[in-house]
Order: sequence, then structure tokens, then C-alpha cells
Amino acid sequence: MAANSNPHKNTYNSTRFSGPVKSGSRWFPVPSYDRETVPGTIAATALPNTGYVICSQSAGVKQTVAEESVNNIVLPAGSMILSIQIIVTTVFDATDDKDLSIYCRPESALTWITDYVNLGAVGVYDLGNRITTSATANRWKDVSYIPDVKAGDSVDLIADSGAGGSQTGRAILTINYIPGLHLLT
Amino acid sequence: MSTTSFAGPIKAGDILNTIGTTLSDDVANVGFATMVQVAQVIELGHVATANSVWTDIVIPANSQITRMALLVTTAFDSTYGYIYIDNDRPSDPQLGNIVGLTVGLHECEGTRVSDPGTWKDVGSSDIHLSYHIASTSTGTAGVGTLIVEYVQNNNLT
Repeated sequence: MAANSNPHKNTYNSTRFSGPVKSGSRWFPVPSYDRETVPGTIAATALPNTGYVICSQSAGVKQTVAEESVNNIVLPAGSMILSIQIIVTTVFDATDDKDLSIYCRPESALTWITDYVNLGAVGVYDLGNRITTSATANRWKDVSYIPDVKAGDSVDLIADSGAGGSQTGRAILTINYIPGLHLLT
Repeated sequence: MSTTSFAGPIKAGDILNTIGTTLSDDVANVGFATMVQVAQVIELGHVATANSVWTDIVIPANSQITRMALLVTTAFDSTYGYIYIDNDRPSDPQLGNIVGLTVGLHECEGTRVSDPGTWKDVGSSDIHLSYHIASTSTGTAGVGTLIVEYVQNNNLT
């Protein structure tokens, strides 16, 4: 077996859906029931118990002063971001620890979905704590909640490093999300 | 965008059964798809146990909860921002609490998980999640989205 070859390459198949994919034994919504009374007037077994399959996209990012599109990560309109992880393989060293932030487009100006994070050591980082404003939190809730985006348009992600440093930082960015939930749009 | 629904659970892997000891050949490598449900949590009118309110989150029986978090888009009361997540049996322990004092993504982890046994396995019937805010809270503005991730019917008991 050659190095780095996948032993499953002949048996793996991808199953693709336009999505979202849901799973549960009861699917149909109950539009109105007494939510104010606990234990309430409806049994749990009468309510839908379907959940969404969490989708994930990953891509390499690198330290550059200029903003750079995160190739291969494009989120469907109205998606909700659940978590963002960065695996740092080569340390970042931008000035003032402004190593990396993530924002989205289309929009004419920076539209952050995470503030800058310090990636000054090799390791795995959770960017959930880099939501610093209500506007940013709302973009996690619905990625289409940004100016200049047309209804139904996908949202592209951009990585941005601050100035300074060696610009040799390298990492893998992973975003977990629910596609097309449209909680705000 | 159309939706595809399964009774589930959804699993993936190309070796379904273990019939030997050779990795990549005859040892099963199938895993579960992690599921998620979300629901709005608001501060106004839901302070204290007596004012608990149902979310629309119903976790299937024998599931394993792997994460609870609150995405706060408007901060909760400045003094008391604890949000308790109850299951559908009010006499049972709460699943945990989350501090929503600031905008951001707040995890229910560590000692904030008050009923790890139910996280391990929600039990033999579906559970319906409700919430209430700490009784001393006086705020009304807080808004968040509760995130509950789980492995459907993992059946760890």
C-alpha cells in the first residue's frame, strides 16, 4: 500500500442531498400547543423529535496581511453556525496577537463572524469565544443576516490576519453548521 | 432547498461489522451522525421555576447529549443570567445551566452540567426540554438560541 493512500477509496461513496438532512421518528410539526404550562397539555410523544444532521466544511487558511478567501467553504443561505475550530499546524505571529479573524461576504466592508484570535502556539482552538458583538452573534444565528446579500445567495468566508509577523502561519479551519435554517432571514 | 428525513439514526462507514482484528480491513469503522436541535430562549416572562416554558426541543429516547450551548444575541440580566434547562420530568434534576450575561456563545460544561446521567442516556422515553431563568433575575431583554447536540439512540445504558 502506497503511503497516504486511503484503504477505503474503493468502497467509499458519497451520498449527497440538497439538504438539510433530518432524523427522528416523528416528523410532523405541531403548530400550536401550550408551551407556557409545565408539564403542559401535550405529551412529548405527540411532538416531533427530529433533529438536523450537523454539516461541516474544512479548508486550509494561512497568515496573510491581505484578506483572503477561504477556498472551499461556502455556506448555504440562512445557515446557523454551531461551532468554529482552528487546528494550527504552524504558529501565527501577527502584531498584537491579531492572528486571524473570519468574516463573510457579500458585503462592501468587513463583516466579522469572529474577532481576531491569538494563534501563537500549535494546537486546536475553539472560536466560539470570539463572538464579541450582538451583530456578530446574529451572523452565527443566520449567516445571511448581513447587508448586501440577496435572498437565497450563498455566503463566502474570508480569513484575515493582522499586520506584521513572518506570515508563515498555517491552519485548518472547520465550520459546523445547520444548512438553510433561516432563523433571521 | 428540500429536506430529507430519516427515522434514523444515521450512520456512515464502509466496514459495517467486525469479523477480524485487522484495521482498515475487517474491524468496523461506522460512526453516528451527530444531530442538533435549536430553540429560542427569551428572558421576558420566564423567570423562576413557576414560569418555565417549553422549548420545541424533543430528544429521542436513549439518545446521548453531547453538547448544550446558548448563542446569546442580546445579553440577559446583568446580575443573574443563569438559564436552567429542565427535562420533561419537573421532579428530576435539571440538565444544567448556562450563564448568558454577555453576548456570545456560552457552553454548558463542567460543573454546570447537573445531571450527567441524563446526558449519557436520556432514558427510555423522549424528553421535552423546558427552561426558566434564575428567580432573582429582574431583566427582560435577554435573547438567545439554545443549541442541543446529541447522538440519536446511542443507548449507552
